[in-house]
Amino acid sequence: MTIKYKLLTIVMFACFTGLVIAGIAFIGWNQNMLRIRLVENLSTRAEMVAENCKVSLAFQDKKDAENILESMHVDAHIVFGGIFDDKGKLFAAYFRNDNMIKKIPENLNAHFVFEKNQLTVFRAIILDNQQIGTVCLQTDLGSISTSLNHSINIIAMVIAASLLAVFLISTRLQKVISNPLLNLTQMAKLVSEKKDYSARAEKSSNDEIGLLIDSFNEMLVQIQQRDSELMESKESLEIKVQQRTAEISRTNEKLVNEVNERQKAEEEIRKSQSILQNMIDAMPFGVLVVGKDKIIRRANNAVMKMTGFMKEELAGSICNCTLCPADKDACPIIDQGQTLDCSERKAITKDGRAIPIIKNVVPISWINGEEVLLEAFIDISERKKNEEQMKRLNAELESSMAKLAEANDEMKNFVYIASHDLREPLRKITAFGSMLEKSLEGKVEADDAENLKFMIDGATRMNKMIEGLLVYSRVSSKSLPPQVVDLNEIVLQLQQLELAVVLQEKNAVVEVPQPLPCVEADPVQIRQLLQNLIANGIKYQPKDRTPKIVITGKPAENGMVRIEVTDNGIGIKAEYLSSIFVMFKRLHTRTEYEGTGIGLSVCRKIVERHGGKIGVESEPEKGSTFWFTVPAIANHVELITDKKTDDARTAG
Amino acid sequence: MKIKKYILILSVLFMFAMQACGDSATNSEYQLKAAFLYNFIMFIEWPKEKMPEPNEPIIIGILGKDPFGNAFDPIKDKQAKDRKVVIQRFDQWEVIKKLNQNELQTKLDEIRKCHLLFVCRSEKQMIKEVMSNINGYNILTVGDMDGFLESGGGVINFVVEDDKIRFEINSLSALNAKLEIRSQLLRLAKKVIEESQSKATKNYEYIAKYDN
Repeated sequence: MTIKYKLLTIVMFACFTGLVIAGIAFIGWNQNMLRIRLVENLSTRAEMVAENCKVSLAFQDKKDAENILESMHVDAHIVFGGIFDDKGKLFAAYFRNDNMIKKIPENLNAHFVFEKNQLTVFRAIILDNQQIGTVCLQTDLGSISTSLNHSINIIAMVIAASLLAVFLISTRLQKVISNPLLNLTQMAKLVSEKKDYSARAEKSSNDEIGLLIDSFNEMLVQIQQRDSELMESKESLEIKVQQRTAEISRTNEKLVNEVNERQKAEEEIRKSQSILQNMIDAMPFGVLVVGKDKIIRRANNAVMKMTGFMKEELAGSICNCTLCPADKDACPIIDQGQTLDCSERKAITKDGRAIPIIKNVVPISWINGEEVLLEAFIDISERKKNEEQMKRLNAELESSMAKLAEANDEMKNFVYIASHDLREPLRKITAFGSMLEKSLEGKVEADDAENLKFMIDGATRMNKMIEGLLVYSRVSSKSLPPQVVDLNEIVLQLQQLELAVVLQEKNAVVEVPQPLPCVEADPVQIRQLLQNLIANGIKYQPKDRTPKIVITGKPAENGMVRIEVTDNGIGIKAEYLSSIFVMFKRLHTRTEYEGTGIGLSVCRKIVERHGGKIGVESEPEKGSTFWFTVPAIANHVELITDKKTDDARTAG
Repeated sequence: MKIKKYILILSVLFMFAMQACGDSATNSEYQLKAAFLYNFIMFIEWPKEKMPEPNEPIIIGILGKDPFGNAFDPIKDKQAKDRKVVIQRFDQWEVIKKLNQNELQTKLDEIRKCHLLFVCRSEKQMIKEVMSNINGYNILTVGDMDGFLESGGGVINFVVEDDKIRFEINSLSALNAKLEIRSQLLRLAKKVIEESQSKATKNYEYIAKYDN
């Protein structure tokens, strides 16, 4: 039964009870009143009869008395009226004319008597203070019972009407209480069915139900919190359980594996121990295994051979007492905390000799898990001897080297001086030869003139070669400290000065598509370098082609700048690429392309002096690209470095 | 002749029985009448001056040959109107009349002092004389003879009707004697002599009383 019907039932029941009690009380009171009134009325009537029949009784006039009593018939309820004389004898009587059983009362002293369905009233007939008789009147209780029936009917109707009204009113009014509760119940049902703890009941009043709803909502908040916590912990618990289960099974597997492995490993250890001992024994150098307590565990055959001790003598002895005369408590690894010791020491043999050894000691875990020092050493007596010899030889070498450098310097000077001094007689030969040629023109035989020409030509060539050698030797002997050089400027100057004639002659073009970087170098040498390369490019051209030289520059590794000089000339066959930088190496006859064979070796010399590299890439008949690297200027170097780090950062 | 003897004996016995019966009847009749006399006192109001002091008795006089015998014995100690009732017997009027002047006066005074005077049948011949002597003394006169009410002063007269003792009332005489008779008593009276005017009043009162 819902609270709605409960409330309704309670109200209805309470009202019904109240009404019934009120009705019963009313009826009881009414009946009592009616009885009292009936007694009063009947008493009054009896009084009247007593008064009237006084005289009849006094004068024994029965007829008169009967007449008086006869008047009782006006009240239909009066059953019996009687007058008794002073001796209690019935003097006159009246009976209602019906079938009711008439019972003449015997006890005349009572005031009134209620019997089953009748009331009997007695009144004394008093004449002059003396009782001369008694009047008795009996009435049935029809009027009272009729009234009772009427009252019951009316009250029943009133109760019915009231209950109807109460039902209608309380059906409306119970909603005030039941609706919030029903809503709450529905909400609670919803919450319990859907497990939706985010729902909230609406509060409509501030009474206990409002309080209940508040408490309910608060409870929901807490449940929601708990629920989410519970869910979280449940999930995490599940995950944990799964993890644990997985871990346990893994561990279990591992354990099984481990047991197997351990058995295998033990087997292997046994094997490997013997293998190890064999290996150690097979080593050509001495091997010792020393515990952290400095007691020798193992030694191999080489040790025995080297020192003359037996294995049994060594095993179990303290290492620095028998074998190594190292200071006590001065073991580099155990006492001084080094992780590795590689040093030269002395080993003491059984017969007391000290032999030089080089010993390598590393701490390792032995097969059985013990932390030990593995010492390996070799006898370096021979090596010591060799070293001493080497030292001696080195000293000799150094002194001869110094002599050689001196000689070299002298040579350089000599070359320079020689070539410089050699040019003087050559210029004379050339000059005078030319003069002679002019003066003898047409005076001598054609063969003679040709010979003279060969002579002058040879002298000129020699001059050029000497000049080249001079340049070459100058590169190595005379150099300026490096400074910032603008390559664009140099290229421009070369075009306008040194190479102007050649360029004009050959109708050649030098292109610098992008401004070239500045470099830090000897300006004279770098000018020489570029001049040689550009000149080469112009020189080695097919007869019918217009030379075109392109110079580009770009940053290279290690703070260098790579400059490329590209021509559209004859190119170089691949097999010659490696040998073109060698001095006096020429690929072509003099008649094809004149030259001394010094230019490119000068170039290489210059680049090498600047710490750079030089090279060539070529395709025959299409052209060559000569490239070299020279140091970029300091800030440029830095810029490159910065860019690198930036790249590194972006990449990271 | 045995039969004649038996008849004689039976008739004699019957006579005795009748005698005895008649005696007892007379006896109970007078007992009843004695009680009636008492009861009349209750329903009659005397004028104040006639009513005795509370310690003095109400006197019932019996004039003539007393028929009551010991009929008053059962009611001898009864009180009426809170006073004692005494019975005073007087000789026949003829005897009284023959007394000397003083004695006669004394007797007359005594008679006149009575509140109720029962006049016996023996005085039937002298009734008018008796009445004339006691008129004006507020005496309730009760008779036991025909024509008593018409004797010029008789108030109540006993009659027998259907073997029942009834009475008649002359309310005019009562009025003359300044006696007030309760209407209830009038109601019981077999006959009431009165003026037509007062008769109507009586009827009215009767109805009124009855309704109460």
